[in-house]
This record gives sequence, structure tokens and C-alpha cells, in this order.
Amino acid sequence: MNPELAVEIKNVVIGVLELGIAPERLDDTVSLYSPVVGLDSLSLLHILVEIEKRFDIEIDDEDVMAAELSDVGSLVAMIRQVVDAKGAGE
Amino acid sequence: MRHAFELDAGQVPTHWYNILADLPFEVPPPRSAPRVNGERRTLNPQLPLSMYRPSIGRDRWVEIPEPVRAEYQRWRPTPLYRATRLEKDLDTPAHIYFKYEGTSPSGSHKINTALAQAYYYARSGVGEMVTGTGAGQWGTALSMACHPYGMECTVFMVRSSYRQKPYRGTLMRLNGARVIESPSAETEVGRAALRADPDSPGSLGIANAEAIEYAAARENARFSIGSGENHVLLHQTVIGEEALLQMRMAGEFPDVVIGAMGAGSNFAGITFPFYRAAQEQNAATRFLAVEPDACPKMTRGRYLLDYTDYSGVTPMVKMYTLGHTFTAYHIHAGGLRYHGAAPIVSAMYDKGLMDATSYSQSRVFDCGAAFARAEGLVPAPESAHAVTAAIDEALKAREERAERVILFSLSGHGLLDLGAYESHLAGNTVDVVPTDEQIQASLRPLIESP
Repeated sequence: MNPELAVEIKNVVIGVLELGIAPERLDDTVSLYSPVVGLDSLSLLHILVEIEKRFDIEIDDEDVMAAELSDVGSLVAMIRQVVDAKGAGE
Repeated sequence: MRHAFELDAGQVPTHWYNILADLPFEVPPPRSAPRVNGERRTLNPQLPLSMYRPSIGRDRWVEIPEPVRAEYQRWRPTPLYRATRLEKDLDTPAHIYFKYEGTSPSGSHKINTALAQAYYYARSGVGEMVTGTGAGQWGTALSMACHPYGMECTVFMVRSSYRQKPYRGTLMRLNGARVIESPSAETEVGRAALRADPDSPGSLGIANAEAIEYAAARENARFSIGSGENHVLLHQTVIGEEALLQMRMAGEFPDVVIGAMGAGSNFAGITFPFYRAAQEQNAATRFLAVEPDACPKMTRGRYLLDYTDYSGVTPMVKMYTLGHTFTAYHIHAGGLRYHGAAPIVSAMYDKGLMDATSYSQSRVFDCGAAFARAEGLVPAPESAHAVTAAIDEALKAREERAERVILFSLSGHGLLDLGAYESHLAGNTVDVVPTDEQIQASLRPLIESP
């Protein structure tokens, strides 16, 4: 587990959604649908595009379509997998 | 002999054109829809990331995947014609050109994005595409596009069009789609609309909301849309890119480019590449969107954040809108009854880079019939709006004795709309214009929201 990665991902979420909160407030158990996050599927794509730029990765369609995202932790876990896979491939 | 400007299959564009690269301002991004407090459920992305990614980026050219281009080559490039007989009938010095998308398998431009979307969705592992359709051109296109990729297709079709154009349903079913009249009893949104008005003519907003709810309840199904989203506009630029080459063959550049305005994909398809070319050569070309008097989102709507569907579950986008609860009178041009205009087109209109006008249904059918007699091609009622504006431009050129070059998109044929033409010939066309109060009523909640 790289805690810095989680913070970076949360910073992207906060930036794209203009949440104006500190990453510590975005606990892994916070629902993506809560008033704090209020995510929808289109915003998710914007977040993923921003994360792709930030980490210089390309996320596969299948991974996105198959993702079952419910809370902040599940989003972080999904992106961590892609980033780790890229690291392993290098 | 018809004045035709034909390209060969090798000249089908290899790239779509992304106008965001050339706009001197940012188009406002979508804003998340408010959610119920504490609600917990899983999030199902509806759009393939690889399709969505380039549509919000600033890369000018987006490569068309080879399998999609190969599908395009089954009927593209579409022809561009000069309407010499119409010019003669109008006794105008104007040169009138039209890009004809009615030669496609589905009979309209809609299949340009349907095939692209089906490719991306199938690659993402989706097994069923679900959508809403107004006049039926989009539903027809999607049903045809799903087949090569082995996907199922379910279409919610706006009730007024479903009944006015029964053969549209036949064509979709022929291509393996399940077609459901909307509002329907299949979804909560549909049941609510029917409770509110059992005789509701339906609207694209309701049909899309039904499709979203239906898709959300099925694991391997996804909602798809062919209206005003950035990626849809992007895919349609093959129309204008071809037309640019064809106008070059004709040795002319248009003074005005005209397209019918539903949500904006046909309009964007024909105009965006010419916007770029006009910038490059400092041409003072005008871009004219044509909408029906019955659904005047640009000429009488407001530039506001609004939902793209009736039930308000989609993200909000900034667009010219009549309000997502606005239900237009059931004109025959069902494809133009959508309440809002594409965010990119709206932003350009707001900055004065586009013009808009509107016409009554009876005038549109008069002009559609005049065009059919002159050129031997029956325009779809939607496309007849562009015909009408082109005729007016040509008449203005006659008054001003100006040799103006006019280009419009004949986005589809009207051979499945002959019932509407028959009704018009019998003198039964009705013109209904919404009152200011009606428009205000659907806009008020948006204006008053923070």
C-alpha cells in the first residue's frame, strides 16, 4: 500500500468535483453518492481522464465498465490496480 | 444530368475533427446531478472511456478506428450535389449545394455515430445498447449498428413518432431491436408520465429517462445517446470533412452553411469543419441552425444549466434550453423536439459564432415539397428545415442580386415520412407555437435554482 498514491487520487477527485475539502476528509468509506462526493458516471470519466494524465497511464474500457464502485476506497483500489500493473510492466 | 461532386471510398476521412482545439474559450463542463442523501449503490459508467476521452480533450484530430472506417466505406463518402433545378425554380443567382446523408443504410446521418459507439461499447464488453429515439432515425441507426458487433438493442421511441411513423418501428425490429413506445409501463419514469397524462405524446427527454432506468437495471446493458454530446458531434464531423473536399472540387466556398437543429449533431457535423476552414482562410462564412417554431430552444430558450433528460438523473450541462420538462407539440420533425442544444453549439451561439432561426411546420413542408419536386429527393421533415432556410437565403440573394454560395445538410430522406407529406398535401398541417408562459413555466425552476 502506498498511502501517497491514495492521497493523490483523492486530490484529483476533490479537484475535478470542486469539493474544496482536504483529502483526509475523504475517508475510504465515504459513499460516492454522499452529499460530500455526489459522483455520477460522467464525472467519473472526467476523474479517470485526469488521473490518466496525472499518472501517465491509459485505463482500459473493460476495467471501467466492469468496475463496481460504491465508495471512495473502491475507486482508489481500482486505480491502484491499473497503476501497479503499469509499474509491473515497466 | 445532376451536378454531383463524388469522392471515392479511399477519401473517407481517416480522422474526426475536434473543434475544441480551435475554440478561443472553454466550453463549460457537465455538473453532477444532486444525489439523495446517504444513498448507497454501485456506480455503472455508461460511456466507454476510450470514446469519451478524446471528446473532452484538445487534440484537433481523433483517429477513426479502422473497423469503423471500414463500416463507413460501405456507403461513404456521401454525395454532394448542386441543386440547379431548385436554383432555376427560385430564379436566384445563388449557388445552392447540399450534402446528402440520405444514402446511408439507415437513411440519415445518425449511423455515423451509431457505428462508432457500437464499436467502442462492444470492445468494452457491453452486450446490450439501450436508447431513446425521437423520430426514429437514431433508433434505426443504432439497431443497424449493433448487429455487426453481436449486441442486442432496445429502443424507447417517443409515442407521437411511434404512431405517426410505424415503418420506423418495423425497420428497427427488422434489424433485431426491441422497440417500446414511450412513455411506457416498463419503467417508473414512464409510469409517472402516464399517470400525469395518459395521452402524453411523449418526448425525447422522457424516452431517454426510460432508457437510462431500463439500462441501469441490467448488468450488461448500457445507455447510449445520439444527440448533442461532444462525442456524438465529433463522430458527425465526417460529413463536413467530406463536404470540404467536395466544395473544393466545385471550386467554391460557402457564404453560409445551414443545418437543421435537433440537439445539434447534424448541424455540428456539417458546420464544424467549415468553421475551421473559414478561420484558416479568413472567410466571413455564416453558420445557421434551423429549428421548428414548436421547439425554439435557441431562438427563445435561455443559456442555463439543465438536465439532458426529463427525470433529471443525468448530469447538468450548460446549454440553450426550454427546460427539461418542456414537451413540444408533436410536429412531424420529431427529431427536432428535443428541449436543449448541444453544449458546444450552445457555447458558440452564446459567443456569436453561430446564428439561429425558426420556421413553422407548414412553411417547412411547403419548402420540402418544392425541393422534392425540383430535385427528386424527398427530405426528411427535419432536413426540410434546412431546405427552408436555404430557400430563404437564395430568395434574399435574388433580391440583393448577389451570387451567394449556400451549403446545407440534407441529413436524411423522407421516404418513411410520406404520411406526413400526404397530410400536408391534404391541408392538415397544424402550426403550434408555445406561448411565453409555457416556456417560462419549464424554465422557472432552472432560473430560480442556485
